[in-house]
Amino acid sequence: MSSGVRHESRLSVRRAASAIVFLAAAAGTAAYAQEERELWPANVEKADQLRRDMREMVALARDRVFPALVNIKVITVRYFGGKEHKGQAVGSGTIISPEGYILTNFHVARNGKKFKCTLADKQEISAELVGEDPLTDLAVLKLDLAELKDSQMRLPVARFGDSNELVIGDTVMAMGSPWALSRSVTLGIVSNTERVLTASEDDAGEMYFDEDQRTGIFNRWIQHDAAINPGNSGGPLVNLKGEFIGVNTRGTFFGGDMGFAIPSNVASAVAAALIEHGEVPRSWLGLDLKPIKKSGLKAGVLVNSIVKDGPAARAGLQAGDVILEIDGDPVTVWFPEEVPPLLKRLADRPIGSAVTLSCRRGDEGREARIVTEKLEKDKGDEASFRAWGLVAVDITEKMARERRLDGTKGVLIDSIRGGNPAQLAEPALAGEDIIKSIDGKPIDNLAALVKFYDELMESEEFPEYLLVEFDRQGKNHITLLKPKPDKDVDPPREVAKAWVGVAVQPVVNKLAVKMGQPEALGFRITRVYPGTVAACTDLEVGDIITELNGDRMKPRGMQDAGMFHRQVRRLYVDDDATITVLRRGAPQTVTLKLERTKMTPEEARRDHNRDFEMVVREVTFFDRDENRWDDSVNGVIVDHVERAGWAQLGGLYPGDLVQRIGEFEVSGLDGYRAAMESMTEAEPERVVFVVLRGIRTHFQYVEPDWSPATSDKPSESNDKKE
Amino acid sequence: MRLKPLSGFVTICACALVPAAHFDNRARAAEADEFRKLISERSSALVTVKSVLKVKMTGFMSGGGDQESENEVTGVMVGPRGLILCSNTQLLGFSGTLNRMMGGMGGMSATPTDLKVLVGDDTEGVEAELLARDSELDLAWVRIKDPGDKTFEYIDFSKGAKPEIGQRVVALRRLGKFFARVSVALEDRIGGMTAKPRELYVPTGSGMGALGMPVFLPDGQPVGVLVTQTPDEEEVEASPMMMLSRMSSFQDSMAGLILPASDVARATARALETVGTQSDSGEGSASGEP
Repeated sequence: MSSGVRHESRLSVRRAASAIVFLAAAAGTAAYAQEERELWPANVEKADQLRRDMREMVALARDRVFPALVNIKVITVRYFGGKEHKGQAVGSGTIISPEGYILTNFHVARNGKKFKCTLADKQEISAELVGEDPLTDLAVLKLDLAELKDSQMRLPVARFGDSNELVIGDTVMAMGSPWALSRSVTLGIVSNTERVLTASEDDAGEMYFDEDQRTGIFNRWIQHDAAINPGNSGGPLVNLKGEFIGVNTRGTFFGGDMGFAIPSNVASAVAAALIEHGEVPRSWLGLDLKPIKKSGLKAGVLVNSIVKDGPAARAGLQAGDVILEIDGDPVTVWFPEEVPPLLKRLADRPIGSAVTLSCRRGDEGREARIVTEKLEKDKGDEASFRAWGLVAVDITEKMARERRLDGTKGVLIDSIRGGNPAQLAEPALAGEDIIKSIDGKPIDNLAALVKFYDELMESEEFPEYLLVEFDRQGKNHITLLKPKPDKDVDPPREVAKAWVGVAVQPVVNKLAVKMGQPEALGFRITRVYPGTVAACTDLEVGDIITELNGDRMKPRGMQDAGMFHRQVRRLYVDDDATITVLRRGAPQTVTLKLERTKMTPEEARRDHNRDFEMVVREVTFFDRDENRWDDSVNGVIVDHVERAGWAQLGGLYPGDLVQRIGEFEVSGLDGYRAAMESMTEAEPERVVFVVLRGIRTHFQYVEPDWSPATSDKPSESNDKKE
Repeated sequence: MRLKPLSGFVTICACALVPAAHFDNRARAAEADEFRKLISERSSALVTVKSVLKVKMTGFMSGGGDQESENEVTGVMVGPRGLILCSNTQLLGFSGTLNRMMGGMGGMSATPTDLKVLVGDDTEGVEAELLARDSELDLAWVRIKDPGDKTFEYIDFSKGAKPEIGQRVVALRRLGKFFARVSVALEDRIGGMTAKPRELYVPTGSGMGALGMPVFLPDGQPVGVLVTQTPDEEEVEASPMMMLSRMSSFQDSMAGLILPASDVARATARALETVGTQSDSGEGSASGEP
């Protein structure tokens, strides 16, 4: 009792002490605040005002751009390993015109086959690619305005600001969909306005998306610390005036919130060109430049290399020349940061115009008049040729130069797929081979190969072999490629054997003793499968099988768990078998006719539908038993859905039991095939699959792409089917 | 004095050794003759089965998409009209064994496609189909699609022999294409017999090589076919998480074991019954067994 009082008393003291400390702290803070207010009244007022102004400005800026922010879902088709691979990507974009043009990154739209944009009001609208510019990592999409709920709706549009006005320390906002989370805003400041991302050891280095595709050549980056993450790509960087002053493009995972945006002055010009031409027309001079900071030179810019037979070479320029003037304007490039603006200035010259360079070679001065040419694409179009198991690429001038080829004629093999005709050819075709002709017909470009392939695959009869001429590392080879139809094969069948429709577990010595039936070594029936011959006998769960046709069944441990069924399988289907069981300690004999082994899920017939990109299979006896489906439950089981295929995007999962497709009831594989054929003929915008998943039915809406699988245009014929 | 008895002893020993060595040489020569005869008479029934395996990884191994690879196994002709027997394990790229080892945690499904059979020196192959398989016995049957008027040399396993423990046996196989698919013989002895899970002959060495090879007595009588035998899932005494323990459960299973000729013949008859081709293929009599 007394100790309790003492304890209570101690607690009270502690509480009182805490209260005093808290009050003292509060009083101290208040006193400090009052002191501050007395000492720095103007500053405090200013801070309060700044906070109010900042909040208002951020809200204003946010509301001017945020409605124009879109979340972009992209279904991609990439090419590697000798085949096409579908995938999904998410990025951000900004509506830049009332016509529905959206500016985003090239790497968001890259390999895009289908685009869905979610607007500020949560409407999901389809979009199509207008043009892309990998060299600046920008792309333009256009919304399908016909899909808007309100056809009179005026789209919110973001207004470009002048990125040249930005200075280090300016407050900026990054808007986008980080990690695919829709519509986020982060705040930061500009850390650098002329960041270049060349390698520190080579200030003439270039950035590449892949082996053949350069990027980031014509711009410096706005570096800022507003947090951006994957998914923010393509989203706007916004100043406090609510102007779109950059396209967020890159971030760093381990660099402490470093974001990089393409300046709006570059982005707006590229967007305008893409909308007008579908591409960005640029001049090409055929030279590389290098800053002079380590050269000992006092002025000019170094010609680092010259493209053989290019415009600069034809004008007599040589690597090592120092350019001092361009069209009479003195030029000096000390640092890497100064290279992109100069390259852009040259590239922006009209194609076919003349550029006069004043140069110095050694101690001599000279002039070169270069007539520019069109800057062609770095990388050619790709296509996969599924039945041959190869991915091929059009050869561009740049690709030809990098590979020291004589020209662009032919088609470059990107990759091949093992076990397919390209790999089985002797000698086998391989990546980097250049197909020159097939059966004597020249294959000058990808379009020619697509045409040849399409005609071959549509023909009634395949030739036994195709004679393929190809170049490999400067050597000219020939090989025989054996084309084959891309067909599916049902899994191999197991040999039918005898079977008894019961599931069993071994009863070993210790278990039998514990059960009080030491003589009950054998196999305990754990389930009598309904609808089987066994179910028509009086075998029941709990019976212990001790003999089969007079042979004693004595499992010694779990290693003999399969003994009973193994012994049964040695007998013959339709033969009679005598099974002795112990039922509640008393022996019973059951004679029954042996059934055929049931088909397993692995053996079930399958159907691969290439439009919906899914594989289904028949329902087997064991599927019914496992799921407790009686005979009234019918359908086909989804065995596989391809990644990012239409079935997967429609929410179908492996294991789903497809019971209805549109108005067609699906009772089995044949019914399923008939239903799918009807869908293929009708080509509805949406196909409703009713599936049984667990104990619930689900309505899944699949929207397949019914567009032709092949086309004369290589860029559109990248998913070859037959 | 002391040398004489010794000289006499050496002389006697030498006299005794001469006929023994002579006998050994003759026996070895006879063995070699028998060996050569076996290869020349029986290897014409060996064929190469080429296929393209379509492989789909499952469980935690999935995600890489479908793959295809070329597969080549030795088969043995078991009927005059192009019925071929080979190892199910090999024909399916060891997928079944992998799945059993993974215990449902992952694995792969493999379907052989574009089957071709290379007979003799043929390097192109003739089209064939996978008729049926018996994964329990590790056998698969392939049939040439259009044999035309041709008949093939084959092994009749219904006329097999039962070897004794310690008896010499010879397995025949074809090497790969790099070695021009030459037929070779591998010799071993029967080191034991099992009764569970079934009757099997166990060779003394585990190095008899590829599965699916026919095994003969030196006089050419078929003994059986080399197979693997894996326990059912519930017979493996380690959970799928315990990979090392599981692998030890498969240690004995993976060595080539000889499935007796009578079982091979019976399984072949069953396979033909399953696909319902016994009457029109002309294979039933070749395989014997009711």
